[in-house]
Amino acid sequence: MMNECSITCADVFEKFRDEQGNITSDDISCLLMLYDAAHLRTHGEDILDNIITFNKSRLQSLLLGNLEPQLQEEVQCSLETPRFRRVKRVEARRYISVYEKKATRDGTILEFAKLDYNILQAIYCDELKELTV
Amino acid sequence: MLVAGYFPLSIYYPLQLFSMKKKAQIKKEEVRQIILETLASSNLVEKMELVDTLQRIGVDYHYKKEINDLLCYVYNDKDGGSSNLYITSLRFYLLRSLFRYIRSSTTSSICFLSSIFGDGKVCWLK
Repeated sequence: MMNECSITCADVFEKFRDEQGNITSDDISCLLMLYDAAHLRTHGEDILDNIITFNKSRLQSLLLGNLEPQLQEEVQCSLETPRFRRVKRVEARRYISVYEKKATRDGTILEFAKLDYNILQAIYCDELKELTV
Repeated sequence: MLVAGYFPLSIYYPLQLFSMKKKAQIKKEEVRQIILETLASSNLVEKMELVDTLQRIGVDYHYKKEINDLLCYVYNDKDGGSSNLYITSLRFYLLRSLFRYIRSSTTSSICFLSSIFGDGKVCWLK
């Protein structure tokens, strides 16, 4: 029977353990990705539990330091709600602004995302109107 | 212009919405072209980052087939940049989210993994 563990085994993180047995990174984007990924754990995946516990306190202490405003917001956001639990449409609105400031952004994707967001919003407003008027 | 007790028909004038939809249609195909180019390239990290961007920015639902194809590559590349923690985490995140989605959806309405046999290649069905 195919399950999550056989497809993407958490053992892939095993080789990244440091001398103390922790898995972490000094690069904040990497740390955030790791933290968000570990939240897709299932029962009994101790390695992912450890990643979350250890890096949660690391991220919290990073917040107290001098972070770029953009990263500060990302860290805050991940600590409040891990990425996979966020409401997709709300996250899309937030991420459009984040993506806009990225040096590696693609103008076409950004423009389409904005148009699509606004069109969907207009559709939702119409639906809300039909339900409430 | 919001007045109490008056609910506007839409937040845009119909003509405005019409031209937005027209423009969006063109942009949508341009983005599809970007996806197809990335699909044809051999850069695995680029493929993963594109899927991640499309999903986060909320336009992934337009490109279900293309994203399936991209993730198929990601899955079949077992090594997947395994010496880099960021890439390993991203790969883990994309594949786990995909399988969660598959598990929580009805098989008739989504593309799903039918078999992983022999050569280890994944078959995607509609």
